[in-house]
Amino acid sequence: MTVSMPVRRGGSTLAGASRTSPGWLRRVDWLLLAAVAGLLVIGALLVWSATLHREDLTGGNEDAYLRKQVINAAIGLVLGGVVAATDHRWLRLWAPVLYAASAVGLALVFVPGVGATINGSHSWLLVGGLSLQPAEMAKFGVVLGMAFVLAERSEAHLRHGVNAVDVVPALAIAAVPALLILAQPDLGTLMVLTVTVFGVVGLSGAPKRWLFLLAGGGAAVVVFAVQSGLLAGYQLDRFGAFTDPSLDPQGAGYNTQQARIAIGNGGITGQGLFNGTQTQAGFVPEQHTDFVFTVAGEELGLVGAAAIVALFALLLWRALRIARQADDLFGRVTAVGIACWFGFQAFQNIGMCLGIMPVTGVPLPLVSYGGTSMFASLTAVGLLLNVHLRTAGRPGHGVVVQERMARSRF
Amino acid sequence: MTQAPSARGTTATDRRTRRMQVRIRVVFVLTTFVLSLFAARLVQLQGVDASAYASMATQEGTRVVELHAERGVIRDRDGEELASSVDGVALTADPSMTEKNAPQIAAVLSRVVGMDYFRTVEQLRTPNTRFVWLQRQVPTWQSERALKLLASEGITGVFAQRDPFRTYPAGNVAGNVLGFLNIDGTGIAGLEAVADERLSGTDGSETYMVAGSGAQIPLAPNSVDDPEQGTGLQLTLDRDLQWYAQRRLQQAVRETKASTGTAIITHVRTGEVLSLAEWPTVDPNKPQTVAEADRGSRAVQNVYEPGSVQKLMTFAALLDREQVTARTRLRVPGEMTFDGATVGDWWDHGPIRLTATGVISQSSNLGTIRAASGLRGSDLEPYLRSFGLGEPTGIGLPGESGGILAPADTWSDITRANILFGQGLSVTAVQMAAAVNTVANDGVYVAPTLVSGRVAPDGSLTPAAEPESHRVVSRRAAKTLQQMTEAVTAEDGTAPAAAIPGYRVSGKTGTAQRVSKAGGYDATATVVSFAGFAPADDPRFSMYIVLDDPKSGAGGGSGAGPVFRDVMGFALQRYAVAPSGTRAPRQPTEW
Repeated sequence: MTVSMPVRRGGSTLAGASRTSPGWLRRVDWLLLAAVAGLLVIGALLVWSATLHREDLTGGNEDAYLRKQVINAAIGLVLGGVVAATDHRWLRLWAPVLYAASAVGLALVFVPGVGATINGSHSWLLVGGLSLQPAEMAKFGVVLGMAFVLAERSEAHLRHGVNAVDVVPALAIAAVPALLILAQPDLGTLMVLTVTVFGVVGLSGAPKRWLFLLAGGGAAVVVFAVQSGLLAGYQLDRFGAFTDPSLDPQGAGYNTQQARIAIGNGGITGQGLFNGTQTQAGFVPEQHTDFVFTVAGEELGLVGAAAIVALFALLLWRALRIARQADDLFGRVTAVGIACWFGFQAFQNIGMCLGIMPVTGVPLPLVSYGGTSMFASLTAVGLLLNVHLRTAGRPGHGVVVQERMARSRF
Repeated sequence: MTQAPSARGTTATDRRTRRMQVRIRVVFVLTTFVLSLFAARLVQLQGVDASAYASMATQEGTRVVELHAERGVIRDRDGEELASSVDGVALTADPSMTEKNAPQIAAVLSRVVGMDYFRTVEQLRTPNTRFVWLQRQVPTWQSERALKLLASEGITGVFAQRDPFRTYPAGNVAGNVLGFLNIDGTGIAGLEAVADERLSGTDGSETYMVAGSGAQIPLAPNSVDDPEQGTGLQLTLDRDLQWYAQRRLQQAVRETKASTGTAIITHVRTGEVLSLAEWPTVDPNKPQTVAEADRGSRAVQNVYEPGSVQKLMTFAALLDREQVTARTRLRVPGEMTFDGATVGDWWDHGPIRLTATGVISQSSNLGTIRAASGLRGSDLEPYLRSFGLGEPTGIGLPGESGGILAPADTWSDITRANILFGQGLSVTAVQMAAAVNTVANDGVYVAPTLVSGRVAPDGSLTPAAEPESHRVVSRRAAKTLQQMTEAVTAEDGTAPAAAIPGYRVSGKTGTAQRVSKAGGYDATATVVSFAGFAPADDPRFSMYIVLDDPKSGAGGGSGAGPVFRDVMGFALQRYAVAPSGTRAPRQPTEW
């Protein structure tokens, strides 16, 4: 008796907890969060290591970049948390606003006094001492914008999936930021955006012929750009330099070569964090931003580099799983868009470091140093969680119910 | 999926849903494929090719810097440095770092190091490079001050690199002997060129780790392969005597309006050259400031017809063969003809009667020919070659000529006659100095030397090998000639101006016609010379002076004699040579 009392009480407490909070704690995708946390921690360490001896960047304060990166991540986590906790209906309501804001931001980089030109690209906004890259936010905006349009149109007709006609406005939504990014020019971000749009259209269920049409059209544009001389010779050389570094020995070819040397120098187990000779000596350009993966390659070796790849694999798997389980089109399209964005950008970035993709300046999501990129990525993670929170824990989740779709309109 | 499909619409929805599921799976597969690609590439880079990349990284991260071996010193016979290496640095810059601060850096460098402001600013802004040479051979104290100033202003990008350089503390003293270096530090003239390999030593190297910026990583492992320092030279030259001889020679060249002058002082017993003075000469610190012709040593490179000093050799041979004595009586005609060419003396006279001593003291060509009437060319030639004519002396300066002495069987009568008094053959000043020294050295030829030993980096001296020596004429012949030539510096000789008060002095004057560029003799151009030694009864130093083309009309006695008197007098006092106190023998010059 005396013994059973507390047990029962405890039991009832547990039961109560499990009853009242099947809610959010259980519905959080912990694996996704673990992958994100892992990447954030490794990223902060790598950025720190890459800037440890770069007095030209840190001004003598060895921890300067570590601190900035941690602060960026903290701001990003708050943003992500807010997005994750927000009612998805509010998010949907805000989607057009966010999209419009990102488009305006992209346009503002061309306004003298607000926009800044760094390394020949109009990619930066200077707002009150902060430098922002609107193109990073634009990826988020486009994903939201397209999800909004596709979901609105299909749900208006009480159907699940996307018609041929729905694709056109979605593409129009993507076209505006794409053109602005092309004008900067920022080919890397444009590529990420293109693949994201393609993924969104494809996975939202658009007919196959649309996919072929898009792929064909894209190929035609590329062929036209090359043939007509729209791209200068040096741009092509720079693009091709990953196969033959001698095409652009001063620029991209040099980067490619140095990145390869640094990664190869790491061997299986690496030279140890903060001990990579190439990294600490600063041979790899842009090593804390675009080439942060080479720090892992040299200092953490095959083990560490593979771990980062594995964390991204985990992240993508969870993102696609969330997309698959999503029970409304908006959630699904958002999750798919984010998965494509993260996936392709990681592919592009790591591929560039490994010399199997051309050198285009895109950061490694969640790992590279950079405020805007970090904010956008963590907000996107928040959005993924939001979609998951709404889906998980519901009876028969993963099954699309007509009734619920209708209900989710407002 | 679990709900039963009940209508046509549901079937369509189902199909779409399935299509999406399939597509997501396609993306899964695609992702897996790409990730496997990454994994494969990582294994390739970090597993298979890792050692290749590691060696590339090592190569890239290490820099090998040549450590210059310090060039050996060149000292005079007392150890005074004539050529020494100064620890300097080369200033270099990384324009990518200095570009923005170029004006401040240039201001400091122009103020402290004395570099040109505008040129430096331009260099500091050189585009597309991370390395420029700013200035080489900057003294360490200057570069240290400049770098400290820059550091205090927080400016980086200017670097110092060891760059020892050569200075010649005595300026142009013995510049003709020492030679000089080119900008790369290679000897290209004088002893610097001849002994370049030994002087320069062997460079070592230092290997250290560098950052991408090119700066050395502190505390990173480095290795040093020490340079082998150069070996120095100790010369036979006496810096002070050389300086004085140069100054005195310069004055004589100016006074006689000669084009060039040479004065060689030799230590009689050892053949050591105490002074090899030439004017004009070169200051090895700034060789480019003088004409190319003045940068070498004429004393070994230029050949000329020696004139009457040659009579010393003729009479040495005659005395050695005992064909004449100091008192041999000679009937000297007013002129003589060989092969249709008329030979005369420097003064007009009818038939006169001179002793052999008189022929020497008056420098009579005709008397010399008379005295040598029993000396065939084939008898004379071995003596001349034994005196060192026709062959380089091997004194150790670059570009030494051997002069021209044709074999005796090719001599015509006029050639033989000419050779007896110093025309028709050509010599270098060093050859003549060595020949004169043979007479002073009691008939033994000692090859002239400039280098007395090698100086190891620790300062220890290894003496050079003994110079080659051989007897040319008998001691008696030489002694007789020494006494006969004392008459030259007597009141009635050809060179009273060469007499040194208190000392007995032997000598012989020479005034030769110069071979003109067109061939044949130039009636107006002469080479005047004086050879002498003192004290005459126990010679310590011999000296030979040549003035080329004096336009003042000076002869050997009046032009070169005073130089002998002053410089030889200086040498005798400097080396504390006591006058012998004996009186010169008075030989009759006429009969």
